[in-house]
Amino acid sequence: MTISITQDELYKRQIALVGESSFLQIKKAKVLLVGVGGLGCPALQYLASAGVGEIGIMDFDVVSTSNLQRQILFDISDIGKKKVDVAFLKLNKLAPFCSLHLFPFALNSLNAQEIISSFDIILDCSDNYKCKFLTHDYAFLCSKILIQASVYQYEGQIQVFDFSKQSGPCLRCLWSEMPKDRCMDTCQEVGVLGPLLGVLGSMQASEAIKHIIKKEHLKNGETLFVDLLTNSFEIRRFKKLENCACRVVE
Amino acid sequence: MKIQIKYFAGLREKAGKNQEEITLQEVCDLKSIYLKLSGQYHFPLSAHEIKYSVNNEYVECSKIPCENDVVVFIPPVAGG
Repeated sequence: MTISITQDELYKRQIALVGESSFLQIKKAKVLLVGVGGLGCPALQYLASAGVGEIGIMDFDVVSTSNLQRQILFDISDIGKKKVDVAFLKLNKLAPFCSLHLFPFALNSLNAQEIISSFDIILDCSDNYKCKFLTHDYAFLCSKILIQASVYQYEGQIQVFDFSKQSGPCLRCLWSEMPKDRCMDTCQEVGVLGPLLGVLGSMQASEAIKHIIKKEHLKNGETLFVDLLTNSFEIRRFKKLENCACRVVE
Repeated sequence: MKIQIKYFAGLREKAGKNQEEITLQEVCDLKSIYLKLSGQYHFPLSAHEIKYSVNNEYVECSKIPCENDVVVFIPPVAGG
């Protein structure tokens, strides 16, 4: 049996919330997700089902058994398959009006500018400092909006950098040097609470949607700390670093 | 002088607690406080590898806290 659906019917609640003209902005938006892991899975689902018009999905990896505890787009039948291919099939069923662009490889300094410049908003859902700093630096150079999140066990952090406006500090104002890769244990070694990734990934999608429809959102120079062990949400603020490279571009 | 200390991520794991109140016998900066607690809890990061916050503002490690300030030691986090 074939069920035919219309966009009006599919996005009825979304349009009721934001109105026709804001929904049009959502449909026009182009969002790139770097990393389809614990953060990327919920973020992708919420962005696609919100009606975002174009979504780029970047990940070089395949689905593994240990991913299933927290990467909610995948199931046992997906083990061994490329994450971007599985995401494409599942999102097509969830949001058939969304145009998906697949990048089944890692972001690097040779491809970053071309790919990042094709999108309006970049969601950093990666799991290592090298990728986070590379994504940040090219989002800055291409004047894009970057929504970044990271987790550790029961805690996470989310930051929004609007580089389309040359104001406010950048990530390097806070961490002028990239932390060493092994300076802290990884999620692989110390574990991570699955629902924490659901909360942070959903918040990345929420911040992206709020940005598109011009609602209140996190600002440059704010880090939101989420602690599911104590159920606390706290914002901490940082300022521009006097000698940061981001000042040279102004 | 009493201050509140909050621990995040791997530092919380090492300290075995979310937060604690400590009493400072003399005026000292955040770096000195971190190094003293690091000796007690064996934190895996040196004083220049973390960030410091006082009352929800990121500050330099040379900042001297005041009575009842809430000090947070923030290690880098990259999981995703």
